[in-house]
Amino acid sequence: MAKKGIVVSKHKYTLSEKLYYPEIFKGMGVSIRHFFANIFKKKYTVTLQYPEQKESYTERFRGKHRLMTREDGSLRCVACMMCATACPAECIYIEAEDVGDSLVEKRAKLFVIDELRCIFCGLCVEACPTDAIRMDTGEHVEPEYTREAFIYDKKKLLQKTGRSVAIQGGDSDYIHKN
Amino acid sequence: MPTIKIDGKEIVVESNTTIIEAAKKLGIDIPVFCYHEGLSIAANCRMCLVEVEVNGRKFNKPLPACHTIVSEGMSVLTDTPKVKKTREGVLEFLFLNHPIDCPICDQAGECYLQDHYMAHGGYESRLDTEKVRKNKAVPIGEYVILDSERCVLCSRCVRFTKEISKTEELGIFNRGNHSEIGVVTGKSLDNEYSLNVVDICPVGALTSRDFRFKKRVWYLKSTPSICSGCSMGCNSFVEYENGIIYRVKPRENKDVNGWWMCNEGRLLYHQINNNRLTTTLTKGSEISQKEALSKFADIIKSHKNSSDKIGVVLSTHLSNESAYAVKSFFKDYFGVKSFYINNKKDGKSDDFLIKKDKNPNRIGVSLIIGTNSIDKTLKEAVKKHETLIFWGGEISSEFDSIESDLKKVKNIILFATNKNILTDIADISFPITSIVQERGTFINVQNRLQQFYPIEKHQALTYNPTDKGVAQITSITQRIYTPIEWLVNLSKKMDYNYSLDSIFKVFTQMRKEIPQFTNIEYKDIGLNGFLLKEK
Repeated sequence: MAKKGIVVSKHKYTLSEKLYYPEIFKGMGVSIRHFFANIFKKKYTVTLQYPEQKESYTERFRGKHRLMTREDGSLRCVACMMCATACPAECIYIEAEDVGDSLVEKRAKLFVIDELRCIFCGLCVEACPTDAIRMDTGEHVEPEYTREAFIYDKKKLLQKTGRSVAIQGGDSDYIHKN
Repeated sequence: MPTIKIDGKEIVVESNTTIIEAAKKLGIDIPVFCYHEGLSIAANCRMCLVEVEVNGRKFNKPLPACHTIVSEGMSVLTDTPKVKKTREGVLEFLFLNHPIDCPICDQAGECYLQDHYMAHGGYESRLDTEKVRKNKAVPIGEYVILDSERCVLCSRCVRFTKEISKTEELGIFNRGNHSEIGVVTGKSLDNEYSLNVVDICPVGALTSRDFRFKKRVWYLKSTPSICSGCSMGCNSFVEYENGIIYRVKPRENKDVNGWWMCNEGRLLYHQINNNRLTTTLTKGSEISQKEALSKFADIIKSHKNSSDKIGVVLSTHLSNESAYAVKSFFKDYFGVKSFYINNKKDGKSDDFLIKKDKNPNRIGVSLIIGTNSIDKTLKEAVKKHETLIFWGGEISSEFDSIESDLKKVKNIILFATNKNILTDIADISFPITSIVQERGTFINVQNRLQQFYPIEKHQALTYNPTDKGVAQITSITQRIYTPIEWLVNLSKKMDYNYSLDSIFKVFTQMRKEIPQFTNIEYKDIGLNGFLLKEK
């Protein structure tokens, strides 16, 4: 089925547009009005003083990863490798170990995320069967001086966890509070 | 020879065939738990129930496909609503007390329960009472760990210990919901074949302690290989990721090992992963490959007019192709006449798969270097020769008696896979590939020619997980060559024109010279091997 084309008529200039200067002054007027509004009426100001003032993100913003703990403080991750399998960037490396106790059995000996490779798609969070990994810190990955520093190990990923513990069977306090 | 129909497809099968065997021939998949080709038929899981019609009259109830013998005019339906409902019902019962702990289960990814639930289940749970809890993670032997909660009571393992290993350690205890697999009081699952129960367990009830939590199975790649533990040459799959082998599983070959393999053969992969020789050494300290090759060339050149002072010792771990290439290289270019076989010590044996002769290719290597040299022992060799070239660094059965004389030999050149006492003694040691890194053939104790394939770029090395960052695999500073590649390197160094630079060329040459190989094409060997005729 052939698409019908749309006929666009050429804009016809009015007299004041043709004269050029009236339109220039109109435009300048808008700029000058905003200039004075910004100076005298603070509530119109759109600029943020960045490091001190921050734009708040939506709740669904996917930021830096963090690992969750159980109520007793142990890592929730059971090293099932679902996140590493789901990860399209292959940035998660996990090594499992035997706990030697029949309740938990398995845990992560190593849990490493290469934040430089990560594309922040959130598939790891979706794949996790134990709610062990979240991306709700609301923070960007900080700049570092070396590439190695972007490789986050278990300790670094757990630092964000002290404030929130995931509870078995779901958690109403899902959003990490700054 | 009854003619039967399965889902409308007609097939003529031999009498005494079961429906499931006939369906397999037609490529129709019938889900099972308890049925295993290598074991007796128990028909207790009821997963394979199908509808059966004989001469237009339908049986009231579905019949188990694994247990029903075909008869003339039988028509089997595997895809009716009744069969689907039956399968769903059976699965629902099996899942009643299942803990669904797939995230920590080593079987996840190759689990029959997972596969069947995705294909035939898909229902919501209707259980509103507590699940029956059973024992978890109980070691029941040196190599096997039991999780009773995951068990579907198919009794495959019980039948295995009864029929194959004939040790009868396992049984089913208690009744109803509380039935569970267990070890008979006073025994533990410690027979030579205990790891087979891990393979045949359709779910995660019996898992390997050696493989426990090492790797998720879907990351593993698999290559057909041959076990080099003894002269039986059990067919196996080597399973690996990034060049590190994680486990070895038996490969079905009814003429050799059936479906089984011994524990020792399975755990042999540790030798291939660890303590490998990776660089050229002189008396145990590292030198560059170039230096080592020119040193080797100098030694051989010094024997230009005294080739009887060179002795070549071939390991029984060499493939037929490597052994032939080595033999023809030294015989044709340097006129070496003394070839010896480095036999390994005899070990334990039984009447099933484990053989006394621990040399995987003794028959092949002795066929290639000729029967005359078999009687010659290493004891003569160390006294007779100034230069000994060892191909394969296995410790020979005569080693204790020749050790003092061996140290007096002027030049010892060694091509070895692993570091051992020989690499410390040898004047030059070259690393060679192990059986999983090259392609080749072995001849087993039945006189069967069997081939093995290489895995993708084998790293073979000590692997040091670091706490910071991704685990590092110790990088290889030098490439590890196959014996044939080393010969090519050496011939380049010495400006010889050596033409046998691939195993296929070697094999063609071998066919001309050795009568047993005359009628064999390389592609004829296949995965199941080729039985050689006695000459």
